[in-house]
Amino acid sequence: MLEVRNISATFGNFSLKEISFSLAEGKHLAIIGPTGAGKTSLMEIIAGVRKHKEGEILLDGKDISSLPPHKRNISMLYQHLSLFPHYTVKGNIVYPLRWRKEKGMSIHDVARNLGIEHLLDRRIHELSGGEKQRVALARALVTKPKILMLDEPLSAIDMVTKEQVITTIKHIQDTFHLSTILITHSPEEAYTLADYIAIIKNGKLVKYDIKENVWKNPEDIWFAQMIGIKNIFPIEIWNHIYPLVNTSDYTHVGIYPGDIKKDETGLIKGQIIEIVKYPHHMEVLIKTGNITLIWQTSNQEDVKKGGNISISISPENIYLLKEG
Amino acid sequence: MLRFFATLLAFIILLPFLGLSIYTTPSELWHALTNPDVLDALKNSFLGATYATLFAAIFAIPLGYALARDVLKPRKLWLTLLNIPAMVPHSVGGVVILLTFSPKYSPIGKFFADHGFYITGTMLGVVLAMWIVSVPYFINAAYDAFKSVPHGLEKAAMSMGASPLMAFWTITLPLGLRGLITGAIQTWARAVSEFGAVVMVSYYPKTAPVMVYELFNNFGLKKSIPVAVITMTMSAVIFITIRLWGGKDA
Repeated sequence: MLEVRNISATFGNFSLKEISFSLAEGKHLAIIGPTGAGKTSLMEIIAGVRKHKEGEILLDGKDISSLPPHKRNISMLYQHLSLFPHYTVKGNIVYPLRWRKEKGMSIHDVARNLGIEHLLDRRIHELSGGEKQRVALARALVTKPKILMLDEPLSAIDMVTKEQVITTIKHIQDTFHLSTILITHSPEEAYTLADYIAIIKNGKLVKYDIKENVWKNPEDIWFAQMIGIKNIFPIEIWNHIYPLVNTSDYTHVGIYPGDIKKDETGLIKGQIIEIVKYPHHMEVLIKTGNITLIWQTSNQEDVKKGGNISISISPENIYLLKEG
Repeated sequence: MLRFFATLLAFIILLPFLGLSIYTTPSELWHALTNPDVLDALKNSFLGATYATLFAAIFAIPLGYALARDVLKPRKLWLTLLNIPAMVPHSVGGVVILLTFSPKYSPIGKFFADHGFYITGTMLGVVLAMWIVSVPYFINAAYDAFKSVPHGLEKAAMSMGASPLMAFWTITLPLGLRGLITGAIQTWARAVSEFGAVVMVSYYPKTAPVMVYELFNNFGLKKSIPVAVITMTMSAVIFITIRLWGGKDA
């Protein structure tokens, strides 16, 4: 169990303010927030790479706040992987074991587990993007950490590699019996890989809950944008499309693109103005009244640019939002 | 077209040096090569430059690293200040060294003299003069070399348990080594060729550039050519060898 208690820290003009949360053993957390919100700084404080001013970090009840990074039993994988180009794959994986007395995993075991055993003698520049990710993960896992922290592992890679890495992270979560903390900009990745979601804004933890609760309770516009609600409209405009009642405390409505359904009897009629295809889904832009809705659907859906369409949205999937 | 002009420009620079050898004869060269004074001057130049380079490394590596990691701020100001020795006329560098290290002018010089270290007329003076004018080259190269190594690699190494010193030793230094070798070559070449500061601080023991100047002054151009050719050839051979050893980018 990881417990972060009232962590505060200042770095130049930026500060983290009284961050507290706990993460049970084997559970997975995703930290979401805009660039510069303090996600990586928080992760570095937990890893021990950065110093904090106040607060405590406990792992299984033991205060690890003052321990050096390699004695915390926490591994960290940076966004750019930080593989050492002058070492071989094996040299990279073995690197963390050089500085600690405790025995780690066997290099061959961890390499076999991640499917990189045949790459051990290769140089880093000879590897593909996906292979580099797996080598970096092997290096992070070889010390048998209790917590693996991943700083935007999917941000700088192509779509195919991204799918491989998601599968690999899932495999690690299932096989190595550890907790993971993932930093991401992507709500979809957070939902796929985490049990809990933490949202950080300007150095403050503004939300921490199980992912289902976070997803179903967007409170304001900023929050809604963070968790992937792409359809956000002022209520007075939305009321022309689909009138709502009891909206006095709210200014906007928000709808997840995936919550829109194609429905021949649907009350919302519109015209398809654009179709953007992704490997496993597509986003369809529907013009209705004065607004453009983004509908996310399967690639198999039969839609044509310029065609008319009827859609429906279940009332419980229309979220009322405050200004923010 | 560009290749033609580039080749032409390269030849304009190199031809006077390549042509230098036609103004001397093999027997004159042999005579110079077997002259103990010439050999001493060459030894002083090459040995002095090597010591100056090692001495420069002691300053340049930590300074270059501190500048690259923004430990020494403001970086631009420090880099500019540390390049002053390379920017001022080298005779001025000689004056600075004399004023700093001569027992006549400064307490530092007196302190060294009291402990048996003199700079006038000694190899120490030669090395100091070479060092002061060449150390900026090493600092600049070390700064570039360390700047090219992402700080994230060091941070990653430290997050895995390496101390800052071991992260530097196992990650930053090996990755910056090529740049450091380039810096060492430039520093060494600059030190070998130094005349102004050396002649001000320590005319004796004579270095090769001082000997070329002395031969020219006392006996005319013709007499200075064989020593100039030998100095140039040996410098070029050492320079090329180190470059090849250091790899294509060094």
